[in-house]
Amino acid sequence: MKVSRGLLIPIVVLALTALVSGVAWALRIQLYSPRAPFSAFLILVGLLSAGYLFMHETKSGKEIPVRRIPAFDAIEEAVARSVEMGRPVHVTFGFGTISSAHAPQYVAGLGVLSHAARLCGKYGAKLIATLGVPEAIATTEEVVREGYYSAGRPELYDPTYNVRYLTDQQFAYASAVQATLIRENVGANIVVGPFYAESLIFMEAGNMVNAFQIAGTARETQIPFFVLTADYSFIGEEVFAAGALASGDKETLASIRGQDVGKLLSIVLVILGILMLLAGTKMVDALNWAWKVG
Amino acid sequence: MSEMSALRSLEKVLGSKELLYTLLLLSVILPILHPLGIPVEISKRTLDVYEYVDKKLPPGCHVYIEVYYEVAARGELEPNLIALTKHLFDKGCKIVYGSLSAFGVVAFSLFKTMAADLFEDKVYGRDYVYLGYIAGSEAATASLARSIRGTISVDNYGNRLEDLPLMREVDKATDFDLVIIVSSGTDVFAYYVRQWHTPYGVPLLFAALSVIGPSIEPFVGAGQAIGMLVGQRSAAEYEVLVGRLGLGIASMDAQSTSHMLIVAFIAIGNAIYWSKRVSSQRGGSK
Amino acid sequence: MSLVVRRYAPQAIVTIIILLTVMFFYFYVNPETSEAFSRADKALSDWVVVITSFALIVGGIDILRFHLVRMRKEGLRQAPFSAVTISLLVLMVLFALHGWYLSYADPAAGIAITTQPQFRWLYLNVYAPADAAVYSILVFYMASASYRAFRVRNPMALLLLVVALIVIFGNTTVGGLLWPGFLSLRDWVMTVPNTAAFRPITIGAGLGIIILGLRLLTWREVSWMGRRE
Repeated sequence: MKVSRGLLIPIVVLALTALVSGVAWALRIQLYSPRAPFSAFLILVGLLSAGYLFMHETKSGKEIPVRRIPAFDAIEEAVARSVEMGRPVHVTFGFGTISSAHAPQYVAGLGVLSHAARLCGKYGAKLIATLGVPEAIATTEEVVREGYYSAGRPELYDPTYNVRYLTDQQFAYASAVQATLIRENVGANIVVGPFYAESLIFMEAGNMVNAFQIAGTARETQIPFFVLTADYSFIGEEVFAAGALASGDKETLASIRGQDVGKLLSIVLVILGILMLLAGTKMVDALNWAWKVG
Repeated sequence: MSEMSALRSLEKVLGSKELLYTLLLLSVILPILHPLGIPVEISKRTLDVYEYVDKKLPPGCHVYIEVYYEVAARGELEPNLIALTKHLFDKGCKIVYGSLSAFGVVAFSLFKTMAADLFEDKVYGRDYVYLGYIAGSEAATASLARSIRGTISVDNYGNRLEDLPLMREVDKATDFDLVIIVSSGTDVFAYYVRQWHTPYGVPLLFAALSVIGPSIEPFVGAGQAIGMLVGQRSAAEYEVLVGRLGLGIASMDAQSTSHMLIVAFIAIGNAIYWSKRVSSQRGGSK
Repeated sequence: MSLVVRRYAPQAIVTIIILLTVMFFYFYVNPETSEAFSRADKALSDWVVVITSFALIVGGIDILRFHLVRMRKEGLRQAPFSAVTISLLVLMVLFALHGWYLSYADPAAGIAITTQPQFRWLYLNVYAPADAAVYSILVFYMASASYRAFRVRNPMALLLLVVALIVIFGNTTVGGLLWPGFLSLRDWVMTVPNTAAFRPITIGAGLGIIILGLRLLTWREVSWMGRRE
């Protein structure tokens, strides 16, 4: 059987890692940084390989089933309802920047914005994207413009109306968003990205104008507020899948499968860890032998 | 039918935001003006923190305190910071304060004004130092752990660090016996766990807002922090333990009354919901 | 050409930086390399601070543009609000210039923008109370949200309500008067079920980030550049 190139890459990476660690261990050379646990490296490489494999399999025509996320499907409903009511759609991705620790959530939020912008173009809805970070102004304008243009409705795009940078101060931003939601009487409030204490302020303001609310964040502290107050919510890692779902591209979608494999792996590791702890050893120590011997 | 409409109008009155908000405002303000003086019980986790600081820290120890909160979070975090500082100074500990955020500088100056009595007999540079705002978030945290003097050269007031006696005693993470993070954000706790605790094994202590509490609980459970003080309640308990009553205990009554009001409204909301459900079921059979 | 500049170049830069960061984080060559890496890491974060500061200028201009356009379109209805925003914006710039002048006149004072007394007065007496006020709106919103959210519609909602009551009573002094056990019960809820619920979310988010990273590395996630295809 001919092994294709794409499949070969992860196998070679894993084999090389094993070989290099083995040689280093035999020669007693310190190879891995003592600051970074080896177990984390193994999990990272393993997951990346798994995700890559799934993406590769679709390339050769295999269908990989990906579960739907209700909150994502609800975005279309939200936009369509707003158009029916003649009210604008509000989207924000909070304080995410490409440089902060929450960059992944910012990217996910942009994915949702890009999807919402396309739908707004499709249905002819007015979109208001509010921003709390000045670094993202250019990107947001581009994403919204692209959404309207790709749907063939360039006349709907008005950067001063569609994209509003408010301020970079947390609570000033929260009160400005609140005012925007109420004064513009938005029909849908889509809030996906990294959020802090302002999350509930957005949701309650949206509730005051009876907006259709879709919210999501991977920041654990704010998830409860979103789950309790939003009509649909992305919980935790579902946020990151939104970007892939928005693309609709099969190969990109297949990568989400890697996420689920990771979850399965975590469950196995947790059970194994408990068993090992009962037997008197800590699994972390066993997994991290590689840099300990160095 | 009239029963239903009566219920509806009752719900309209009780469910109106104006009524709830007015009562809530009163329930917060009145107890602060006229304290009820409900006694505060000490929870085990606050006691654990107190015992750790009291028993495990040697006299004359060195402690690093991260001041990372904006004025909005002052009410919950400043009482914690004051009570901890009082305890540490009583033990003769020396404290290095620092802020990874620009608003920490204002928070620190307000804290110093509020706790002026604690700093009265302390000499700046010998007993405590404030490094000021250190830019660079997590990368800066990592850099501070390796060497403070290698990261910044002057403190908040423009003094060179070499000229301060305390800064000649401590420079890297392992020089500190305890690191306290007083923060209104969640990320900073993780920075210190990743950059100070994991590589160097420095004991950490968290002081957080009540909303943040649940998300940093796993760090405490995993032994990456020796304990945590969460919100006003912990501040009140710690104030009782160190014997300097302040804003923490003063706002406990307000916290109690406002919480009770919310409980009452939850109960009313449920009562209306269920009576409506029952009567509509009865109405459905007619 | 534009495709190279707008699409391939940024992706290549990001890919190289991600790979280098991961490599130097996990692998250890010698003390000098790791020292050089952490210096580069710090330099990158410093760049971020610089870029963000310049982006703030863009932000200021954007706010100005937005309000000028709105005032022209909506006239008197919008004018008072916009006037307040614009005047405060201009005031901030004036303070910055004044602080700049102060530090130019007396270099020993350092950067005097935030330390000048007028700015501090404005910060402490205007900004700080406004900031705290918006934060405390949360109290009211939390009350009205819990009024709606804690309706016992089904057994799961009842469970949610019971746990919420335990935590509420545990957090207040009144709870201790009613039954002293609330405090230890609250601690148990926070340390056991709460941690059990939070850890999987943290782990799941971590997994999601890794897979998102994979999509970035394979050049499949392009929304961060402001375009899709």
